Amino acid sequence: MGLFMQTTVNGILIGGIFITIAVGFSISYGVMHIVDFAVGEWIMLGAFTAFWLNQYTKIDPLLLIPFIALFFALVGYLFQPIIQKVVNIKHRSAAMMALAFTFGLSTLLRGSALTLWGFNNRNLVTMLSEMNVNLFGITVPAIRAAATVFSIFVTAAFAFFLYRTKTGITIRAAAEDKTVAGLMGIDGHRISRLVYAIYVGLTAMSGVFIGSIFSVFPDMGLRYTAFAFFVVVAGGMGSFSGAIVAGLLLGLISSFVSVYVGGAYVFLILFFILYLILVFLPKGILGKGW
Amino acid sequence: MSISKSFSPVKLIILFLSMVVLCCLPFVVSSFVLRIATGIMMWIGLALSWNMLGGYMGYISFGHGASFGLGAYIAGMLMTQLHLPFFVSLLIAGILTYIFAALVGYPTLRLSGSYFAIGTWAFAEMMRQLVLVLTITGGPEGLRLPPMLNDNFFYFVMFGLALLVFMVAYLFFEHSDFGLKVKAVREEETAARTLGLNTTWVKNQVFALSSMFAGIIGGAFAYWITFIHPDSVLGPLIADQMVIMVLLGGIGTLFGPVIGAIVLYVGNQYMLVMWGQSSAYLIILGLAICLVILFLPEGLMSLLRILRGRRRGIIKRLLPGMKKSNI
Amino acid sequence: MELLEIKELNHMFGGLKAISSLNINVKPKMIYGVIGANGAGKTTLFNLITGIYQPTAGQIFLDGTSLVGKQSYEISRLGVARTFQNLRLFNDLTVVENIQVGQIHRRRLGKHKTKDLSVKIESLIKLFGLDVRAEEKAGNLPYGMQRKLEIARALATEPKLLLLDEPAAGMNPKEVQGLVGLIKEVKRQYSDITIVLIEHQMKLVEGLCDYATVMNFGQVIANGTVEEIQNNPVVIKAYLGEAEVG
Repeated sequence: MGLFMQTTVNGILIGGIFITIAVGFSISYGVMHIVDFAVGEWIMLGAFTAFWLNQYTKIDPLLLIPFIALFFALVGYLFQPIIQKVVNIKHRSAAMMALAFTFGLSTLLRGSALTLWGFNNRNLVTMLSEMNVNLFGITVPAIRAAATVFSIFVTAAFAFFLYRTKTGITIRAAAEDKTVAGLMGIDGHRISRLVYAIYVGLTAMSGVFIGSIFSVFPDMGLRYTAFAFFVVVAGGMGSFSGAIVAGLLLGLISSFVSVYVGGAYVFLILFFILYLILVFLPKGILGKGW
Repeated sequence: MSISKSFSPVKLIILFLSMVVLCCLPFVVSSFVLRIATGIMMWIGLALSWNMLGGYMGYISFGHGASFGLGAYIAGMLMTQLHLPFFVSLLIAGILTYIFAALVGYPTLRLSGSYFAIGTWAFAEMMRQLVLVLTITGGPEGLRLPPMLNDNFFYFVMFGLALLVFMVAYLFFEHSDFGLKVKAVREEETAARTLGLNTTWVKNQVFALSSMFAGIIGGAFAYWITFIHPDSVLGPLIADQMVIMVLLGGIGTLFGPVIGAIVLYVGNQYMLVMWGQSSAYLIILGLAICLVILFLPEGLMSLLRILRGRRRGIIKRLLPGMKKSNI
Repeated sequence: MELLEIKELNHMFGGLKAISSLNINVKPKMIYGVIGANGAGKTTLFNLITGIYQPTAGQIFLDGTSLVGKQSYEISRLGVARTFQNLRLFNDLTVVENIQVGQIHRRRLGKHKTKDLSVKIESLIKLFGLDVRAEEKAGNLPYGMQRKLEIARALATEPKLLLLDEPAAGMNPKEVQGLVGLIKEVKRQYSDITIVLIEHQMKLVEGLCDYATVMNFGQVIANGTVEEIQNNPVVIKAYLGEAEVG
């Protein structure tokens, strides 16, 4: 029973982090209609940025989070016009070209990281790394608990932004229907740029947590791209509540499979479930996606 | 639509001469060059097979590497465990990959666009993970095949396979009703259905056929390279390279994948010689994808077309009275 | 015997009734109009006949054969062809290739020689005035020609029943005039064909149709000859009145 509870709590805690990624990814898909294969690479870059900054400045990675989020939001903001250019290409399958573009981008970023930093694993040490907290009678690493709490906080703030502020409502309108939003005088390009910036910022920020819970290595992106796809597909593209449920589900599945079946099977089972959901529940497990 | 229309005598002579040159190649070049030529042939075949699905039908797959790996493993296991001869193993690998793809295609092809891309990608990754945990495939230890050290043999095998895939692309996808159906699916699936095309069947055939060729080539690769590992034959890099070769050369064209495969493979080998095994290749690969999409979305073939167009333009200016149809 | 017989057809989208208890009978060789405002359920009706949607309830017969439960391509092979309100051409294929796709399943039946088929394509292309741009990509044609190409492509399947979904949409009055002449010419050359067309312009229906049905909110509000319909008070109130204002 102790193991079961431990596994459940671990699963929920891991899942919490993926929610933040999924929410950003989902809304960026909604507005730009691009599936970003480079999502895992933004996580990797976020983690590495924290690692190197920590190496040189000795500032705790957790304190670097606001800086990293802002920095990558800026990167996203500056980079978005290039992606927009791909979307606007006059080609019979512009959306596919954009997808392939992010695929190329992901390969480029991964290759650059591998070339610069090699295949080694690195550890991101934070002030919480050695600490544990007691949660419902179960001991969990403090960093995991902190990551989850922080993720929930950020997600809630993002939800508030989307549903309660004028800009947020504009973003949702653009995600619902770009043409109509365009007719209503919403500047699609500005919105796309803003959304992409938020998405990249959120994703890189999550990378700091992921890096400090697990480890940091150039090849880590692939795994988290898979995770992000899982959450977004299972939750339904563009569905906020779906992303939350799917994020938790992902955490639970990976936690239970690695404890009860074996670590080597986690990805096998995740990819299998991802495939099944895509084929049989294309609108997500809650049926709320597009 | 007829063959005579698209192949003028000049082109036929060029074709014939290049065939002769390619057949004589093993007897004139060094074994190093021959191995590169073999690799080029292999990738031409793979790029062409991907183009059937991604180019002619418009279903962008990021999981085509799975068929390659499947064929490699089937052929490898038949040769090591049942001690079947190479060509028999290759044939069985082709048939089994075809059947497997037809079965997987049925649910997968219900997806389209980005969902299809993610679905095939997820499926391919799942296959890699599966092979990693299975014991009959050797798991993470990989699979060692009986060595066969005859460069000429593998050159001709790959050359033959590339030629086969090329002919299938040419005959079935460029010059037949089947090809027209496939393109109709790409352009407007609903309309194609209301015009009497069983698009489900067409899609499944293309998926299975293109997978089969990738599988056969995978089988040949396994014997050539003698050691296969889930990360080498089922890794994402295989599919990545097929995609970029086709995009680089020109998606949905006959010669685009050929050109793309030659350029990328030669570039890759050049880097290998200059820098050794390096992750910098990934940088070039990724950068190539991004740049091609940004600046040359129709691939290198469109450059050729522009050049040819200019030439035509010059002829037109020289002969203003000439009818359009005569050029 | 009716060529097309629709009995108590119902279709729901989620909780919304798009078509409710619809009955339509179309006799062979007729030009039949289906009139109604946007959202009246006309295109849904075509989608149900051609198997793009499956009806919630009700029946559709072509020449006595039930179409419900059949796939689009099977329905096409039974002799139903259609056009789409928002053009669905094979944009990257040439004009000739577009028409060839329409012929493919005819070709496979083996009744025709390849030569006859190319003759047919040529005559279709001429009839629709597409001969000068036969080798051009469909996507590069001007809008009016694209509409014509779609009809030509549908005719290439040699249908018994041709469904035209707002063939005059986006055309100016002069082009509409040309279209009326064209449809009449099609009817003259393919004398056995039955045409059902969706329209909201009364003018087109007046000039072409033998018989018409007026739909409103998924229901039939009137049936009859064009003249009868024009004088039907319910129709005038529900539809024609508005149209005149507009």
